[in-house]
Amino acid sequence: MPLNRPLSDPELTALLRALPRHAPSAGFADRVLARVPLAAPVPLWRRIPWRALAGILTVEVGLAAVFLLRFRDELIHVPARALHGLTDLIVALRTADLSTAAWERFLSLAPRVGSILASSPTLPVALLLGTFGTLLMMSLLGRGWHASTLRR
Amino acid sequence: MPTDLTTLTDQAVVLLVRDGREAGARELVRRFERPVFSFVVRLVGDRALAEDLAQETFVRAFTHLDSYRTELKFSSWLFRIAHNAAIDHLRRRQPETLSLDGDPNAASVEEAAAGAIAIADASASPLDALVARELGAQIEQAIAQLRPAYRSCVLLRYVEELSYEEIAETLDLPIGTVKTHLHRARLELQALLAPVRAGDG
Repeated sequence: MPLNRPLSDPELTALLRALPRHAPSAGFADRVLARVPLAAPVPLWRRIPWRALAGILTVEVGLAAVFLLRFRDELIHVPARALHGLTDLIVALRTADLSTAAWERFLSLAPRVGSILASSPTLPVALLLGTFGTLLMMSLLGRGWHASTLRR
Repeated sequence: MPTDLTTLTDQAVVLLVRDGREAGARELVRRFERPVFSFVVRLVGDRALAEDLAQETFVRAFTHLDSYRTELKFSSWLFRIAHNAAIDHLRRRQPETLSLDGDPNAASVEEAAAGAIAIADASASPLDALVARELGAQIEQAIAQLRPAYRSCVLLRYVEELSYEEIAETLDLPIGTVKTHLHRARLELQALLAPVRAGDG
């Protein structure tokens, strides 16, 4: 290499590219992995966040119970009457005797079903919480599937 | 039959690590331990410290792997973590300034020389040792005298062979700044190496 003159660009580039890569001391990978949490494969039942799941289910069952108790009579009678009205309607259709009475009986149930939905503050809350709870459960279960630690 | 991880791309191995596979993590360490360690040791000029920082780099990478965006090269992301770890350390250390531009993050001549010697001693192969003795030691010392921002650009460009775009992503700098840093770094290196070459004569 000629001396007493500045390095040319190609010479400098060649020198830089010739720089060796240095290795860390032996066992470097082991020391790194020792600092990253390791775990054996986690069985599915242990990945499920049972406490959170139980909490969500308790809230949802509680709300469902309140709703059932509050509208117990309606919930029993409306489906029964709806079934009865439907039967009447089918009979009327089969006998070609489609009286207005059968229609009216059947259609009169609709506002009552609507009133249950409208008059119950519990229901929208239950629906919201149910949706939120379901999303939360899905999220928790999803996190359970992805191990946050390394396994062999 | 187990997959031969050496045949997989970096991205594929990253997915294995995200799934919690230790073998994937080990493979990534195997692939990048030398590049990361070399980069860090030349930034901080101390082997023991560089080992700690390189370890820290991998641990951070594995614990924050969820934040890695696969459209970025894994090596660029890893070098960014390594760079940040090294620069954080240099800032905390508050060294005496030496850089030609008076950058407060630059290491002193003595520290740089000490680091270069330590590096040369650690060369793995006879060829590496020869290069380190005859040429490497001088250029290592010259690089050690560059300000850290220039040093990072030079190492990523010429040792790790990253593109300008990748360096810009790694160091979170505009490409224009990367090119400027490289140009100025080359000028400084040529100036730093000239007396050594004259002295050799």
